Amino acid sequence: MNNHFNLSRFALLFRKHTVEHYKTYLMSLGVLLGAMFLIMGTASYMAVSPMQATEQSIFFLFFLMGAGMVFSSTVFAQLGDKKKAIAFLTLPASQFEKYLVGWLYSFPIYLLLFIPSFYLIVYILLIIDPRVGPEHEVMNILTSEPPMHILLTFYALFNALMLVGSAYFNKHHFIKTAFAGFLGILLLYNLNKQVVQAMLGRDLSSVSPFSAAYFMEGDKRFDVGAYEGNEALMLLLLVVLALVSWIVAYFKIKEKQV
Amino acid sequence: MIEIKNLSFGYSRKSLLFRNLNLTLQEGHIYGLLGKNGAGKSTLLKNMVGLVSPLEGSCQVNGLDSRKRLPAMLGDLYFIPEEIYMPSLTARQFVASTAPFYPFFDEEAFYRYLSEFEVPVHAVFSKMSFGQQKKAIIAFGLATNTSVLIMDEPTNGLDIPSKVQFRRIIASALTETRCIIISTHQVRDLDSLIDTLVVVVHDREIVLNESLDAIGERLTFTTIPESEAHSALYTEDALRGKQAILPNLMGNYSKVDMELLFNAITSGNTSVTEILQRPHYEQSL
Repeated sequence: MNNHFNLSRFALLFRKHTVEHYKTYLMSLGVLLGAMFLIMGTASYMAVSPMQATEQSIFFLFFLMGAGMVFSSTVFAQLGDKKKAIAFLTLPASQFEKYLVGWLYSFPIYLLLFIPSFYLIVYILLIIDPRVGPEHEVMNILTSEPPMHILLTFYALFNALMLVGSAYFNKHHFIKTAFAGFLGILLLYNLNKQVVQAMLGRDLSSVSPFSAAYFMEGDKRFDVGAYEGNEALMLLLLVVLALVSWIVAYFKIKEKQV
Repeated sequence: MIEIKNLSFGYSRKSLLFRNLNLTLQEGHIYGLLGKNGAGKSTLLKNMVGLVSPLEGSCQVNGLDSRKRLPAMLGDLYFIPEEIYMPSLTARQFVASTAPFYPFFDEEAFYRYLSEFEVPVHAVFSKMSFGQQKKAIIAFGLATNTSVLIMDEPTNGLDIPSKVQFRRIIASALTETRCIIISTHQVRDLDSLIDTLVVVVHDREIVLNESLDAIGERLTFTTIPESEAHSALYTEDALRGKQAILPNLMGNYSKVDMELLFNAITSGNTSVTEILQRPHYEQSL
């Protein structure tokens, strides 16, 4: 039997994971539905007009990222509990198969459950809102802004970073990963600024990584950047970052010691 | 079966827990891994299972490097840690979800062991008492029929009748192709169960890896009057005289008092270990 990937063993592992976690996952889905209903319902009730497609897409982005990051941070959280970690690591399946089950649940399965759940809440809110007419617009995730491929790329990156955090930290996975993420952004921003200032030989107002440098000359503001037309490259960079983070998460699990 | 070669392990290179450790454990034996609290028993077991990686050297289980945690290695090894995690499943649900990973799992034997341990089949594991959970996981571990079964302090949390059942069931589960390793700091729990003693002491050395038969041929465990205590290798006060370990000069087999032997070794008495480590021909001189 292959020691790295075996389909029937993977199916057994997927089944075992589902049997042991489905109650928690269903409860989490219930909490998400309730939170979306309450937050979007309150916002809709307080607004002067029924919820428009633009507002719906903002909520979609907020809940997709927020709930997804919280959920992803719990996928390998069991490795922080010594008792659960031993049961997980000594189960006769490859570490890749164990990783893949967590990844499947936190990425494709999460998206497959989140998207219909979001639409369900939107339709319920529109149905119970007496101000909504028959022609009221509902957002289309394939055509709304930001485009779906950008949303997915960002979700992939956040998911990958949260998986790394859930495998790396032993407790408070979400808080610690988010804190580490903010710290990393702050560090990257300042290091990038120092490097670009040294390259250009002058002080700059602001320099965002992979973006443009801004500086003032008298009353005039100048942008120095090569990002226009390079959106695809920027997106590719995010995809590569997500892939690297997924690989890092896998190796954190593979090398985990208890 | 399990072969540890020149293993050095520590959570940092500056303070090693084990240095150049060598140990071979064979099938057909029940090993008792003894040591005081903090002696490194659990760490040694974790090295065997692959839960920690040695800094140097290797640990192989059935010829496979344990640190790689390959399914082929894990499918033929079952580890019961001191503190266990039991999911919110009944015995039947647990069998359905976990037993297929162990190719030689014997479902009938599992229910038989549960019955002998008086563990209810329809109860949810996570809602059982710690002792019941422990018995359930021991029953499962035995039923996997893996060639290596490792148990870390399995008798912790068991009541006295359960400890008796435990000894009986483990003894009945040993086969010629199986190697069972039981660590404990409560030596009496393994009385009449193990056939080979492995003792780890505080400086994380293995000072003894010897069968009880071989120990009984070299040492005599007896009670002597206080006036003869000077001729003993090691003594402890008893109700009548002294419990003593003497060199077995006559070669008659003596039943090993494991607790006395363990106390002698861990108290730093080197004369006992010197006799046990001496090549056999020297003893007859």
